[in-house]
Amino acid sequence: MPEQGNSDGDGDYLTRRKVIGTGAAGVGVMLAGCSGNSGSGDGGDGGNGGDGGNGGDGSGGEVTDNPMEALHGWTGGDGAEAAAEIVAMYEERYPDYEHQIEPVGGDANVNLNATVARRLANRNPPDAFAGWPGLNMSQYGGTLDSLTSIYEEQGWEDVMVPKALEACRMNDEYRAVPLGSHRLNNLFYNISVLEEAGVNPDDITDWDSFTTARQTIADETDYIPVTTTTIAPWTVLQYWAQIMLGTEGQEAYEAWLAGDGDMEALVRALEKTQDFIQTHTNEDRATLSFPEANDKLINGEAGFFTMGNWAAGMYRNAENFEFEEDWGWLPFPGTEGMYVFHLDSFMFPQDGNAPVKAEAFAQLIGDPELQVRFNNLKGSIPLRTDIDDGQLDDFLTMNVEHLNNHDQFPRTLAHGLACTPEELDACKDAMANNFSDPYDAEATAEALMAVFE
Amino acid sequence: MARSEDTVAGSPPVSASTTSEDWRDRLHRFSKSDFVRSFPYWFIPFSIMGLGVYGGIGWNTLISLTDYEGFRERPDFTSPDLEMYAQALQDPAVIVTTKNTFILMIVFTTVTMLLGLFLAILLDREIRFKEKIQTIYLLPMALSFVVTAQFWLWMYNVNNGLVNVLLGVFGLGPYNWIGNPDLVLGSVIFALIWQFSGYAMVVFLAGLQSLPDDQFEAARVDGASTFKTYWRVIIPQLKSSSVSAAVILLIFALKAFTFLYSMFGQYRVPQATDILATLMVREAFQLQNWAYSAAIATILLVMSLAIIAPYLHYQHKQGSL
Amino acid sequence: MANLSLRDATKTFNDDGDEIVAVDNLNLEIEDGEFLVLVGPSGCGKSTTLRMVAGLETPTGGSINIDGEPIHRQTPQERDIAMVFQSYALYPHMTVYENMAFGLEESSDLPDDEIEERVHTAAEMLGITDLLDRKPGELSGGQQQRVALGRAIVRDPKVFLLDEPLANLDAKLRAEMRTELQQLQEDLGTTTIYVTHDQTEAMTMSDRIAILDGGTLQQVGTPMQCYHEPANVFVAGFIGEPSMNFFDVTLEDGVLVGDGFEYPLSEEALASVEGTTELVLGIRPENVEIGDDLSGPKEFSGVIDVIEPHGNENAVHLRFTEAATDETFTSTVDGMRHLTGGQSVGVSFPEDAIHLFDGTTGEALRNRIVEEVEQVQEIGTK
Repeated sequence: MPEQGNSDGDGDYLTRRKVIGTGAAGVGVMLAGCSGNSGSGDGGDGGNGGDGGNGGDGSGGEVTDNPMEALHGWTGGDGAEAAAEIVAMYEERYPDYEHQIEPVGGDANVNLNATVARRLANRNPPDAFAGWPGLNMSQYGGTLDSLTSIYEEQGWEDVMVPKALEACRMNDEYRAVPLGSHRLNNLFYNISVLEEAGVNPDDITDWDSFTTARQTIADETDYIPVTTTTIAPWTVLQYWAQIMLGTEGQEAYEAWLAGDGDMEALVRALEKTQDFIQTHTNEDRATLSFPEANDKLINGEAGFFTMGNWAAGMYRNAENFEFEEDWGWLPFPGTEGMYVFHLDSFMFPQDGNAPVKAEAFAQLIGDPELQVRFNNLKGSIPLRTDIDDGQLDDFLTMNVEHLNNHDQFPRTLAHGLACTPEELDACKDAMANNFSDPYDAEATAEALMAVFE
Repeated sequence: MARSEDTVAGSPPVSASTTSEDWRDRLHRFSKSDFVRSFPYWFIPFSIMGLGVYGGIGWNTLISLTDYEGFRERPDFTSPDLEMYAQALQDPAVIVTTKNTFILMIVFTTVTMLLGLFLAILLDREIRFKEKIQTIYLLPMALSFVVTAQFWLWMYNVNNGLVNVLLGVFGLGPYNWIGNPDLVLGSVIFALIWQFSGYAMVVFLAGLQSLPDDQFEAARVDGASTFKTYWRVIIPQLKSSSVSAAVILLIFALKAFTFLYSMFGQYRVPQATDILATLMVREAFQLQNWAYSAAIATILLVMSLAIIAPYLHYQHKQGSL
Repeated sequence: MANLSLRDATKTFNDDGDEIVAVDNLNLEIEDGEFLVLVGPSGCGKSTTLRMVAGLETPTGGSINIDGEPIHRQTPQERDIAMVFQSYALYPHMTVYENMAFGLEESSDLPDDEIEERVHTAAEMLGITDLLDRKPGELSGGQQQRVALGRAIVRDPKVFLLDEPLANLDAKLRAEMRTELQQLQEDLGTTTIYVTHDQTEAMTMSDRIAILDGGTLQQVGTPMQCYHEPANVFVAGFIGEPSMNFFDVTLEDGVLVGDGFEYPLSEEALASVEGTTELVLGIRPENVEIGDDLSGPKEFSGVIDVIEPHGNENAVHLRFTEAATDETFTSTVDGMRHLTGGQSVGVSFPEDAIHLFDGTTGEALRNRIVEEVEQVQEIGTK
């Protein structure tokens, strides 16, 4: 078999070194290729052309065989339970409709958003996905289906909170179905800690009284006055937004968002934010996620905690930790009369695979029963105005009242209602680059101003 | 085969006898050559890899030459330019993350290799409980980044993290390992070193154990001290181990993205630890700046090549590859 | 220039609680400039002995001295010895020059130019000057062997230790190197211990041979002494190729009774075995005479089994006609002599040529009588 010629210098003879030699550059390229892949985390199949024009063309036609695919980010604790309600009700109402209502894990929707972005870019969108409407929705411009006809059919314009309706509109069409609203301007407190320190929560109405209260807890007890988390820039951004609203007011906040901000006001709020983060707080804030920070309040180690009211979901799950017995709520100091508005919704890309089933899903999301069942577990409030009293727990009922009766509804910054993803990213950049120990209020303010100019 | 011979036989008769003989001979030899005979075995993996890796790289590079962003438009390849690269080179975020990436790659790879080598030498010298130690050092490598990142987040807790508790015994600290921007990159690198020094050790240990005893003995009889024996005789012979360890470690350094993401739970990590990979993912999946992130990916690729190519070249020249 | 002595040198290894004695109370004196070959079957302790001298093993007992100074507690670095390994142990990443210079750089304070000079001198002596820039991987086995020698020579140590240095060479090269090595050692005059399992190397190269078996020294002597006056059955059987013939015999009334033969002893021979009845009769193949006619009491009838022609001589394997077993013995006869398998012949054992060993201890009781031994020895030792 083996031909003799081969081994004695017959040109064709492949040596290992020869192969390596010629492939040397290739090896390197390959390595970095792998790394590039790994960098893109999940999937990262770049942008290979999608599957082109797909059959089912949105407007009310045949039921396709495709399962309805809806992606959301509620994986942990009460979020998962709440999402299970959606699945249960969809199966109840549409037992024949196959579906894939699935979570994409990750903190603060990062993986969900990334997955959706990838799928949209690849022209392989899911039928529905959860996301923040408002300006955040602008990134999906042109890819989302209009839901106006469903709104009209269901008469949602009459039974939904106007604020939510407004946030779900883009280019004069409804493009998202509101599901629930969280509130951002909260100051949760541990009642026994405050009692022990002799702090009356009713006295905390503005920044100065809050400062006094923090000082009192520090002086009178060994508790941590405020438990904080700074592991992620969005929390810092959120702290600042609440303090800005509480000390400079909604007008100053919205002027800034409109590109007409007052630099001095921003600096003042940033200086207070630095004080809020650094003084009378837990030192391990840089390594704690928000649930870990919140644990300190539940465990009775800390007096105050500020976070979107999804944090209250943890209190509900904690044993023997009851609203107005063990924990209490205040509007974040200075934001009395405000409901800092956050909205969860579902959006429906064009060119979905199962348009009829997706329409059914959209109707379900706006359904009052679903909104009650979902939000009771999720800790957010329904956006239907026709929900009877008593269907929600006390804390949520209070928030519904505030939503219906307050007149100031600044939109949340860190959760995308008030700004586009680019702007949000730039705001986080501003915080990460200038405002994470060392804290440079001036530079941060300049960077923040630049975002909306 | 037969057909090609026919064709050759059918060529003009004048002087055909010699040329066709020649041709036939050459064809015959070619068909029997290693290249042709091994073709079915390497061609399939080569083409799969070629398509997957080089195709991906090529596609990525193509995209980086466009202005592709958002969801609505498909990439427009009609007017490729280097605009994205020009933009990237002026982007302070790119400059900072490049610097961080570079520090991470160099420090992590160097220290991990030195530590791995040191451990391997200790083990090779028949330290007791050999099996156990080997397993213990390899264990971190077997753990997922998700686990180790959370683990180190707890370790680095400024109040009750084990690192500060231990340092406290010596009256040091507490240090804010994650919260202090001056420390956080070092903390992350240290955690990565912890995870991968065991791997480096195993690679070096395999290299060491493949060396016959008489190399050590010859050096001893030649009058070399233990240090000189390792420095001049043993370590230089571990070149191929070093190459494989360095290559793998560099890849893991680039994979630090996963670690950072697991540690901080998001694509945006503390600025001092922000690397090109995290920036790239943010640009791509949060902002849909596909072309820009493709350009960043290409920069990352070039950078890894720049680091590894001279080393590979050197090793090839030395005959270790 | 140095003499080396081992006094009661002992090495035991611990193998899971079992003590294994590798070298047992070894006493050896090696004179200045002497070429001593340590020979024995594998596992006899010869390599361990060498490694103890090199400092690669620590003796568990006894002492090793160079010029009367104990060195066994010194590190190898301190001993001023050079060793050639069976595998050569060249450093593959260094050039030949670097390989040879390494020992000097590490063990001496010589300036670079002096090192260079010594390396070149040694290389010239070995004829490897044109290899100095190459790496060991590019050299043939014989060239590597020379480099390994060069690496030792360049050090100009008190003692050379060579551990089977020729074992990896082919037969022809081995024979050449044997001579060359011997010549080299003679020129350098360095005390040398050479370990081998090959008795031919031992015989041809050494000033003296030390034969080891099972960790104990069997005999030390010149090659001729060991050949003609073996101290015991082991040495007698180990030295010489083909090996000595042995017959278990019983002494009955002055006659050695073996399997298939009876051998009457002379008075003189009887005196040397006095009191011992269980004996081993030994005779070297070249002394077994084959004749056609049977006459005299020390001749027996035998049958030729196999003949191995070696050219100049034939090794003839024979059996006693009256033997109960199939065991054969060997005779070497002139290569021109015509013999065939199956042929019946007469076999004679001249009494001058027989060795008698104690059947139980193996100790030599009577060795062959060789008048020329003295003379041979004179020639053997230079």
